[in-house]
Amino acid sequence: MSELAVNATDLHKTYSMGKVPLHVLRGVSFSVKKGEFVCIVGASGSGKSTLLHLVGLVDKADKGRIFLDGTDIGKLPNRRRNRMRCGEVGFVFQFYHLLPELTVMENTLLPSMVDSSAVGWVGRRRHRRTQAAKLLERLGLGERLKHRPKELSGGERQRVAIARAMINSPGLLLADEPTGNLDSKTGGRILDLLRRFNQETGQTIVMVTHDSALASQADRVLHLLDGRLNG
Amino acid sequence: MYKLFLCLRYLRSKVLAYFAVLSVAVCVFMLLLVVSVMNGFLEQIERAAKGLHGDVVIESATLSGLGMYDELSAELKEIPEVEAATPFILTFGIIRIPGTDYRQTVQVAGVRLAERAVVSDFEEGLFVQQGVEEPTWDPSVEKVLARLNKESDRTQAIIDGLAGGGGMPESPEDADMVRRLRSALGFQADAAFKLERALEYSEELRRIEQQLEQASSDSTDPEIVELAERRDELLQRSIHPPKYRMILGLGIPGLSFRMPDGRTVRMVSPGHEVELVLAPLGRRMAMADIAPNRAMFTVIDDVTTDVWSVDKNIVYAPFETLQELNNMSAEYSADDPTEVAVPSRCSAIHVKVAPGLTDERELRGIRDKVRGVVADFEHRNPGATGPGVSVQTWRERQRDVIAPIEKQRTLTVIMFTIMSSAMVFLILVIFYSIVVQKTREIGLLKALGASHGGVAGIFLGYGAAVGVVGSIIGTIGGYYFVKHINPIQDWVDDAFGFRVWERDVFMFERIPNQVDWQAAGIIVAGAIVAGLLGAIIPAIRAAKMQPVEALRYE
Repeated sequence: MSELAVNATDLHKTYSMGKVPLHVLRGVSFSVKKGEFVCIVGASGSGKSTLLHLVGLVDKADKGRIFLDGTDIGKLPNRRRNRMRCGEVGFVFQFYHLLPELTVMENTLLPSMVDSSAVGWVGRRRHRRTQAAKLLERLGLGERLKHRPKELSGGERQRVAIARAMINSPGLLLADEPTGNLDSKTGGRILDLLRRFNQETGQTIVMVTHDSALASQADRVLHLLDGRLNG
Repeated sequence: MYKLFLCLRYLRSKVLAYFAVLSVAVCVFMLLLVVSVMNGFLEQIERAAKGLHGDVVIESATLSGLGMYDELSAELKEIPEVEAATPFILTFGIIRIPGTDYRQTVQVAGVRLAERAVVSDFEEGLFVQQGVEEPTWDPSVEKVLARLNKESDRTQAIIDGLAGGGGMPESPEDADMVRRLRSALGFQADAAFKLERALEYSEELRRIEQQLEQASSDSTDPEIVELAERRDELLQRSIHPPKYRMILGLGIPGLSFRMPDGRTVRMVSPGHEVELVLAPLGRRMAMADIAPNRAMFTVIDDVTTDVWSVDKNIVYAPFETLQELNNMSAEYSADDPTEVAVPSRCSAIHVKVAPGLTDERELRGIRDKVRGVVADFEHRNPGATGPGVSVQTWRERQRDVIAPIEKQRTLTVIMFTIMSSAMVFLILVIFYSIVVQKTREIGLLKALGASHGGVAGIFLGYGAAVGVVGSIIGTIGGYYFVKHINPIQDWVDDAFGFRVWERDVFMFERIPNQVDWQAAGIIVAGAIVAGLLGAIIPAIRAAKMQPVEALRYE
């Protein structure tokens, strides 16, 4: 077992913008200890989200290596990457990405369903629902279990997204501008929630934001500038 | 689990999916309707063909016919798969209604009625003796009269329905129909009168017959002469004996008519007298020698095979009577009147095989055995069966009638299948549009750990679910429509004056309304496959999406 939840070295990522290559990450290296709350701050387009996508196995680096809990994710077959995305990493997005057809409870349970076969789900459904209900209760959504996303406020939607990210108890929670779409008061509450998770359960969190004031609440702040990390 | 969960949820919540389901349902409905009606149509033709010929038919290629048919039939019955065999005569003749100008050319079938009911389901279509296991040429006159009276009541009820309080309806068509119905009622009353008179004389006739049997053979005895004269007089005024009874095909022009709603009204009914004129085409007879034979018959029943083209053209007479009238009875040697020179003949022998052996391949196997028996019989009795005997299954015998209808059915089904295959493209377009709409959700699912195959599975499952739900709706709708197709047509006719299936000119009394479940199974399977095919390209597109690109999609 590694002491480090994340250990990334010399990450490079280039996108093509038509015929022009766009070097988003130019040799980024960083590490995050287990139980740490790290914030990555940078201007819009600085490559914050790209870095988070690489760490969260949603995208692949052109160069460099990433170890999650000691496992080199660059060498993993697709099946194993899928399993890690589902069970070991939780993602919170700026735009929530809730499924409009599903209720709060169903959206929360989605990663558990991805993790189960139809037969397996029958056996664990009750337990998972109880677990999700407790989690949503803790996030202040106990009365909203059967509501659909369109019936919720922005803050409530983001709390559902956090519940969804936490339902499989991942070792690493990645939050991509989780307050970016919320007013400052609501954003502050979301940050408090994340902070509380980190302190109470020792949840490792890597959060990306462009707001330095919010970032100051993290254990450590990394600054991303022109594809390179400082701090 | 998420695949099943999401495809069912998408099915419930996407309006576009309802259109896909609807298109599948309409196609399944349409195909089920067409296939069921066309198959029903073909089935009725086949049933009629089988009813006319039995399962296997042995037929003479010439008009001189098959001899020693009873001996041959006995040998045929020794084949384990053969249940019954009966001789059959089919010839042409003219029927005439005495006292009228009515003449009509017909096919005349000579049948042994009880045997006929064994080799075919002939009895099912009878009017008086419907469903009677062993129909006879001599049913009780009371029974015939009761059935006829019921028919008269029905005719009267139709008149009352059209004419209301006894006057004439306002519409010229209805007024004309009432006139025809009243005329039919008159004919029926005339037949009933003859039957009542026969009933009245039957006791006296029986008594005289007994007296004549017991009396001395002295034909000059005035008492006997008087009895014989009285018997002849009664016979003249009564119905003809069983040997001269006839069953009419229900549909011979002029003897009955159809109302626009499909109901058949009888004019010449059981009890009426019909004259049959035949041109006998016996063996060894020169064409110049052919002179017509004629005989009077009493109509004792009528029959329908449900196929108009058969029923409009045929009358049935007792086998032995027709044999005699057609000069097909045995001929005896001039030197020795007890020696049979030419055996009595029939046109064909109809063979019934054991129940359950209905498959054409099985029938062909039995046909081959029958051929073997016929060849052996011919070998042992040279010339008995005559030249050019053919042995065919009923389907082979009626190939000329059935094959074009089968082709027509196949062509229609192919055309409708091609039309229905458009639903694949409709589903493709709908699903493609859904996949585009759901790009970010697909990205999210992948970010949550869903595999390429899993995401493709959602849309393939979605397509299959659209196929299943559409099929269920289409099948239920199709079932009820097919079942009620005749009342629906009647309603359309009443409401809009438009009738697709003109019963008075078409082959069948009613539109076939039996759902073909085997075809339904194939259609449903096809609809599910079509749903999958329509979903396959969108599913591949969804599977190939990179999560990071999908999440950023706007």
